[in-house]
Amino acid sequence: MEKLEREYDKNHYFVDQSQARGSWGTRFGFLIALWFASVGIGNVWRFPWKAASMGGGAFVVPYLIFVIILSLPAVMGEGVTGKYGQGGPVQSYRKIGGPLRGIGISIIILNAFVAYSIIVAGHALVFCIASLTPLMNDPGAMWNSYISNPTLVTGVFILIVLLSVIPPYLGVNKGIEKFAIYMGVTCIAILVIGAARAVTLPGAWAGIDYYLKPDWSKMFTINVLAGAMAQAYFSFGPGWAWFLTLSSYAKYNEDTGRAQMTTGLADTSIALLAGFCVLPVLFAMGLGTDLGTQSSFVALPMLFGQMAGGRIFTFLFFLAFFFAAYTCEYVLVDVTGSFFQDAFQWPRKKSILAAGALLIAFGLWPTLNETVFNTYDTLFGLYFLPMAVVLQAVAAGWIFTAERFRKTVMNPWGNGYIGPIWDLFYRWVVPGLSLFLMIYWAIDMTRSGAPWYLGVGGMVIIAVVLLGSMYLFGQWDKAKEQRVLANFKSARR
Amino acid sequence: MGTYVMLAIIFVWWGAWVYMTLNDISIEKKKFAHMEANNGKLDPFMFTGEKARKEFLDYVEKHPEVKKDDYVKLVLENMN
Repeated sequence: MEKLEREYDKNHYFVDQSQARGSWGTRFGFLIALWFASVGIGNVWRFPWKAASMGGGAFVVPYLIFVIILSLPAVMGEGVTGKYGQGGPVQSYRKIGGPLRGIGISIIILNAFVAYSIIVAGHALVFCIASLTPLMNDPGAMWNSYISNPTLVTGVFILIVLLSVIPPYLGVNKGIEKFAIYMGVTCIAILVIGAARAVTLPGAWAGIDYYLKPDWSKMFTINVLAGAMAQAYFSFGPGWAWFLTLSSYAKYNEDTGRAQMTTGLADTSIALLAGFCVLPVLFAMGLGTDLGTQSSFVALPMLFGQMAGGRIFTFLFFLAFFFAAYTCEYVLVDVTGSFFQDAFQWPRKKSILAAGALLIAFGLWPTLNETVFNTYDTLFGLYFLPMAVVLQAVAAGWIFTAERFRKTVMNPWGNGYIGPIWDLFYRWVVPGLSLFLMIYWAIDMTRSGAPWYLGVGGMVIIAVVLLGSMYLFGQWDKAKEQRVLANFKSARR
Repeated sequence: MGTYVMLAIIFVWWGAWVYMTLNDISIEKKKFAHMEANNGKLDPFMFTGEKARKEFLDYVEKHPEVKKDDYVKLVLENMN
């Protein structure tokens, strides 16, 4: 009887789950887990090149603006949804989503389909270890022989999934938090040391100038604005429910609004810092911008190989790469595992193991097939993700309402006042810009002659998959809940 | 000149990151100390101010159905 009552309440109202699900041991642990869920390889390698090739400061300024007006409000919305929901996306949107209650399953599908991204952490680990061996004397040959060996790549993929299962399996405090602290602090330290070394090399200023010198004539072009918006979107990472799930481990009297603000600052600060590690070295070594089109796995060893103590820097940089990627992958496992906990009430450890198996099943094919990898990347990155962000903003911002969230959940026990401007951005700017980006990409892909299923056609297919899964799961979940309610009533009688 | 302006913006951004993080951690420490001293109770608007308190009370008054919400109940129980 008590169990049924609790089950019913948990789905409708706020019920503190910190005892049952685990919670953060320290505030710094919570913050750094959030930071490194947002920091990935896109910050460390993609950002500096994107900035430099798109007008330096003329790219950085709109990028920072889009982080503030687009990614940050979306992530703050996720955080407060998780704190209130006290569960993963399935549990949280079931509680607040009304007719969109099934959106949680769509987000789980998104996370499962992007399991292929786990291989990036695997590449980083392989190159980190290889940098200590003579194999790295020819990084190009090393990359080609590694990537053309499907058995090795499969093995590395499975190994990384198994490694990513460990922190969430150990729990929030003993696993996710501890791993985030040790790996996050090491990653920041490596980047600070790398940047300090890079900017003090003779001739480094040319690289800094190339990186940051603003070309204001480029700033208001659609290419630069859309590029800055996309970078802000992908590098921060709204829509995956990673911040939602991490914030769901916050206690009722713990702040989540300001925590996401520090995450916005951390994500961009680390991206900016990475630029100081890479570009000054390129110019100091007289390599110019030739390496920008190459894979980072080939370019970085070539770049650092020119410096005194280059092997050590290559090792450290790949270690930072690995940590940045790995700290995202175990959050991916945790979010996927939350599905089994929320939908079937499985215990945490069993759910995390099931999530690992699910991610291996979903990730193997795209990991081994480049065409499938690129197709998934386009369909899920360019269309599914923005649609998920729009639906999340509608569920939290319009159905539950941003005003209610801000006034009754975010500001109480907050670490600083969050004003009504957040409501405005979350209800209008986030869905508006997300829709714009999605349509812009669909038209751009169609115009550039991509196959029909990657352009507007792909967007339509993804919309059907997303809305269909949301509707069907919502109906199933509601029927299940009705049964729980009926049992509860008959037990009370 | 433009490069120097961008460098200044980046240093301000880094400074804001460090400042906000330290400030956030110190507030959580104060909250913890306050709870220890008050049998686990903590005024929900201690760090968000009277404006936030007024907004909360006005909202609850205008939407009495939210009083059923356990989170709102918790806030009301902990208010001074």
